[in-house]
Amino acid sequence: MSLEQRLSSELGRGMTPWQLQETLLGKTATGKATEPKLRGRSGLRLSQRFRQYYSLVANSGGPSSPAMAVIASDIYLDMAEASVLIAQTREEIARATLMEELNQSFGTITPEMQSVVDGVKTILFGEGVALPAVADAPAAGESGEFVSELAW
Amino acid sequence: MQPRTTLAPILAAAALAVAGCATSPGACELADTNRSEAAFAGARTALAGGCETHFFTYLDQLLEVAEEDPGPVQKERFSEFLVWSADQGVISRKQAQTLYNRYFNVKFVSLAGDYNNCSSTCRRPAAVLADMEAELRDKEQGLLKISRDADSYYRANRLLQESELVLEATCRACDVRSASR
Repeated sequence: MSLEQRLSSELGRGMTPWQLQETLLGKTATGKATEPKLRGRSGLRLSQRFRQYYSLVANSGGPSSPAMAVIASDIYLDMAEASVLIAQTREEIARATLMEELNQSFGTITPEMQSVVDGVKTILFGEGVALPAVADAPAAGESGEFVSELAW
Repeated sequence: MQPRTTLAPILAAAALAVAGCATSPGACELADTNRSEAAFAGARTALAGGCETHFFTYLDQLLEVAEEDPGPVQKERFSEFLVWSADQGVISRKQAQTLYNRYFNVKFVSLAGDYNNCSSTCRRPAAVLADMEAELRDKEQGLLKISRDADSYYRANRLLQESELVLEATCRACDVRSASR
């Protein structure tokens, strides 16, 4: 039975709010002996997290003790968030794989090929050459000595 | 606070029905004192003398006075006062229980109900948690400032944090399970 099913059936549908409080407090617990770490505040190492997970799985009675109920909830919420991140990572891997396959299918684009593509684009779409940010130097002929039109 | 809003009209009507007792202005005011025992005695006398409608005002005053005279014995004094008030018919037995547990118990009266969590708490989790936050402030007054029971207050504080976490997970699991059916 999954953690989700157990949370839903044991804590969700199997208990009233008051019973949930009693479970969290524990009938005989002092509060310190069974103190679990909370999500966001724990700063747990991955091995510690898996140790808790092992304890949860090894406990065949389900999340009945105060610590187990909290740890089960913590792990469940962590797993839900981790699932979203895993899905996003998978999508990124699929996208990168597709790009690589496209690269291998069409080969490497050389500067000459790029130049041809740019030329075709200019013809088709009228794309002009970008204006230089700094003014060009004057042409060589125009830089000679002044000649008046009145001169003979 | 819920009990006050539900009780006020009933007590007001009852006060009108028995009009005659303590109707003069200032007759229901408690004597100014810093001694907790004297304040409790004054409140009992006033409540027995026809000032039932002032019960919650007296309770607030008693809590303030008790803050000036803190100690574990205050739990017992408030318990006796609330039981006496219920016996006198000023408040109901359930209201007395609710008030005592709201201020002096680790568990939250805001997180209670006869139905399972999926069908009750999970329908309004934000409101329940807001009520619990408000109750924690009353527990701070009752447990920490009045009874000097820091351990119990910190357990209540932790219980609120754990409840928040467990309810979030449980309600999410309830939603997923109900959607998959």
